Amino acid sequence: MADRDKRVLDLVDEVLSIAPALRADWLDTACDGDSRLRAEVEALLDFEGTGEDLLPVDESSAHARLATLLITNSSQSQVSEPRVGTQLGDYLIEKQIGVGGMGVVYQARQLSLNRTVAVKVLPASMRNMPKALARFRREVEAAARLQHDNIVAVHSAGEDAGTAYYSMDFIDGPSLGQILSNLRHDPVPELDTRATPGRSTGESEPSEEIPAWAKHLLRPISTYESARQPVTNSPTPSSPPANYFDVVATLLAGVADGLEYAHRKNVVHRDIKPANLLLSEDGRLHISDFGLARTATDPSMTQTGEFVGTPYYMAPEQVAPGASRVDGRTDVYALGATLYEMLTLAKPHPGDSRDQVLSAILHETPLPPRRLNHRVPRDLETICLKALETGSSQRYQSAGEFAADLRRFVEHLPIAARRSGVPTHVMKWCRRHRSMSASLLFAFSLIVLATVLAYRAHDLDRKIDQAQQQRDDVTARASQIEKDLLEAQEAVDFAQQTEQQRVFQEALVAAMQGDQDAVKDALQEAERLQAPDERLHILRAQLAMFSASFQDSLDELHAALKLVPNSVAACSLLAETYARVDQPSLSLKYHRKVKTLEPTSVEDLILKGRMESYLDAEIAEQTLDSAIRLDRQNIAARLIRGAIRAQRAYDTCDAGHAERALEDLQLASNLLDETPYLLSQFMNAHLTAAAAYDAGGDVEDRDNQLKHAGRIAAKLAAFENDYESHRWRAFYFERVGELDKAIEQWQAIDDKTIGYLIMLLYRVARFDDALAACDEYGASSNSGTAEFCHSFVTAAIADSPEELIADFRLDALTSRDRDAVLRSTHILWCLAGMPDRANAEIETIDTTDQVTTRNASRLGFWKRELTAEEYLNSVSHSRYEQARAHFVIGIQRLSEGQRSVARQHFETSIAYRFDYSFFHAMSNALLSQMSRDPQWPRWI
Amino acid sequence: MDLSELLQHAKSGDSAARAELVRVAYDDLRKLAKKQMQEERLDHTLTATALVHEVSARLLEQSQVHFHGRGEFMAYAATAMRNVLISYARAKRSDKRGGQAQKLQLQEACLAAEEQPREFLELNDALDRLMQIDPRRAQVVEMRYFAGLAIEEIATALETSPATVKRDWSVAKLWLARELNQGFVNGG
Repeated sequence: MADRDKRVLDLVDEVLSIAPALRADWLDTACDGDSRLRAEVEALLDFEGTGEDLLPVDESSAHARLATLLITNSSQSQVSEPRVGTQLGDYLIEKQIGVGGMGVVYQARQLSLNRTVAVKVLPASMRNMPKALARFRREVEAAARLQHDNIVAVHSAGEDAGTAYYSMDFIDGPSLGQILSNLRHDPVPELDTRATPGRSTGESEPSEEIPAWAKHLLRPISTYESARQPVTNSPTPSSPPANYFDVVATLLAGVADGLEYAHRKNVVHRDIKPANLLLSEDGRLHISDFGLARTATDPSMTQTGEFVGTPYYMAPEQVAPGASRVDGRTDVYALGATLYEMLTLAKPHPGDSRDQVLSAILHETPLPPRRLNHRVPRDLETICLKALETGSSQRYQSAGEFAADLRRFVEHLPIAARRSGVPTHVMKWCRRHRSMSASLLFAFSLIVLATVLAYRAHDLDRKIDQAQQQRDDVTARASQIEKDLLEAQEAVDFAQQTEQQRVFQEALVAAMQGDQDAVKDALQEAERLQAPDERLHILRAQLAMFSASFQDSLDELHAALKLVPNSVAACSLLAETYARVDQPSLSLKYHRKVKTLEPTSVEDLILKGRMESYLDAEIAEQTLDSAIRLDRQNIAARLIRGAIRAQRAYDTCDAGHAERALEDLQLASNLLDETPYLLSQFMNAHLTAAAAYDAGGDVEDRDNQLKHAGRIAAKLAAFENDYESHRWRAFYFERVGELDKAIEQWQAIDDKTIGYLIMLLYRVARFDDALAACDEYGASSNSGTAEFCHSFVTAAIADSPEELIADFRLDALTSRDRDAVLRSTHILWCLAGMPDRANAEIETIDTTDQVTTRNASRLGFWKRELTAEEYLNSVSHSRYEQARAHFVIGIQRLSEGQRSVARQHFETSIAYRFDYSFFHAMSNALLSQMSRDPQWPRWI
Repeated sequence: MDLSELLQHAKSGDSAARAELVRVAYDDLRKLAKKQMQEERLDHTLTATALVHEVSARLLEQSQVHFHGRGEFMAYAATAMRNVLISYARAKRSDKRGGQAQKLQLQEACLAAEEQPREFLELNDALDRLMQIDPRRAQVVEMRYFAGLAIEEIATALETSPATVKRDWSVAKLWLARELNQGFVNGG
């Protein structure tokens, strides 16, 4: 798609040098029937004539006024004709009130009737473009046929000295777009009376500040009487308090009425969006800008592929190439998207680029509104999602049905829409769990949580969800009004970023980057700013982590929690810290608690997301998406999301995730120093991308990624004595086959990743070194890994199973991780050529504790309840689990003496390329050994 | 890695080397700006253009690459300048960090960033998107708009003709105008 965008720019470049009169013909040839391409080129050319003022550059004083001029001139320059004060037919132009690609809107005085009207004028730059003219005429035609309370009424069309225009009702109020933008940027209206520039929100938008009466929409205040009655500034004590969601539903029901009416007249709007919905003082929304409408009888309507409009509100059928017909349900979708934004302040398909948004519209379902704002009533969420169904046949089949359901909601009647059924939920649940195991492996280089924990957490989450749902349903009706008084205000506070929050986030980044001094600085600054004590405790807790003073850290976090019992930040960090100090049950407790709390700030979301990444990268990424939606520039969020995406890429071996991870990381790295942490994230993403491309047979992209990885490795070399630096260089060298260098890196660190070192030494037949390393490491810590590796290496050099068994030190395998013990003993008995012993060992395992499905299927295979094929099928959704399963099957086949079958399984396991997993290292090691000595192991 | 090596890596498409060059230029910009303010020169109207020129010259001197390297440094200095302005606008937008804004000491040079930080940042976002689609045209905007460099200087730096730069500039402006008018960032 980027290539296509580039092509558009190149075409514009060429067409600019061609005389305007010849351009149409030229474009016919150049675009060769690609009407969408042509429309995109023309959309850009529409801005021609905006003049040299667009990005003014004054070389002597630099860009002193630059952006100011940029913003105002881009619209004003289109006003070159007519100017304010001039007359256009019966109309005296008073001021410009809106600009869009298809015309400029003025407030004007109609002289004959002495009334204020709005006049829309086709921009001068478009006049010699037949297509634009035709579009303009159609617009007038379409609009003039429509007379409805919720549609801006068109009076008459005219032409004066070559200027085409038409007049319509002047709606003296802001658009929903303006209201939303005000709500997002200046959350507390009373505190900020500056105008929100109308530029970003498109046409027909008054440039004045939002009037006070309209601000009432921003917050449900009790003075808002009803959407259907005039609203006054002063509260009427007797008036019943209305709530925000009722107001929104009522307003949009009106819009749906207007659409229903237009659809019956065979007019589809095609560009419904907040900027096109104008609020009048009597509390009604008016649909404006039928500039993109096509009458249903117009043959060009069926020729889709015309690409116009704002992408965020586009229905899938408008976006898909060769899409099906656009009809009234297209407007239903766009109005659904508008409703979504009113409920959550977020777009249903947010994205940073047009391509991203368009692809999301086609392929993704929006996050349920309640995930973004838990106060959204369930029924309203259902209505909203129904309107946003991807397939138009799943949506409301008419705007009238949509309006009726919105009104049923307001009147507390049962709605017609149904939530997506159970199967969908189950599928989503399964999808979330797919990557769980791999997620646990190396998130943020912290200690792995037991998979048991993950399962229980989700199980409990579901129960909590259910309980909460029941509670919600009961309380929803009873306390709706009271509850809603706070709702919009909370949504607003959510986005508000205070000074202290910034400091806090800087500290977060610094902590992740391992920059102790920066955390100290941040703490001092926070103290100076008199940040709340809760935040200070949390900062101190992060500082304590540097000296591994976990107890201090925990104390600080508990102190924070005491001050703010619902602190998402404190609970998230507690869950993380308890995981680090091996207290899974406490970790789980706080993990559960976080799930019940509502994040109230961007950093809440960041910390919550980071905590979630230990269990489920997909959920974590969604949480970070929400954070970034609130603050696109947030470095901490980008950094963490980059890390999570890299992790997901690794879990799924998906190059797309890896590339997206790199985008985030690149963005973060523009503003951050290159620390080992950041570099290691880059390395992970590059290596994973390389593996994914490799799996897809894309050699060129793979090598390119490896080249990048090589550069990162060179940079990491600057950080001697850094754990991450050694670790990632080791993975890199192993990946490119420089095993001696990889060994050097592992030898340089003294750590429990000793297993990788041993397996590499084994792989290159340095058995003595391997045994020495086991002894050395085993002596300094009672690590089960060292003991396991010792036996493993012994297997390679032993001449008989007796020798091997004599070396078994199973007693030492006292790892807390039952799964690891199981795996270790089983593997060792297999290597000893005693499958029966191996399986007997399994029988001693208390299966009631083996709760995860993955463990269950592995166990089932070991117990011969499942065949190898069934086992592989049960984990087929995960490349990672497939890789592991092949190793497990291989080791058992080996014990049964089926060397070549075992070999094939080990090779398959390696082909999945999960380079930093232990079974990958073991598969490689065993394969090397089998190549060296085809008779090995001799006792089998 | 010294500057000339970095420059070589950057030329061969190493984005890390590019980032490093931008960082060096960024540090230098900040240092220079600070120094000039401390000396309290009467004419301390520090323009972005002057700073970019100065930084490029200094980098050239440090790196001992031969003369035409200056143009390339100019491109990195321009990116660095953009970063300075953007971080300024960002601080300004949140409007609670007067102290931080003071540290930048570039008020005179970034009225736009100061007066309309939000719009400034939107422009910056739009430019980021253009960078994805069409890096060369985006770079022209960066050098021309954010660093105030002359058409001829940009042409030298990008090793192309002034006419091409002019055309790139026009096309990029149309694209940006459309992006900003669509309100794609904060849309509707």
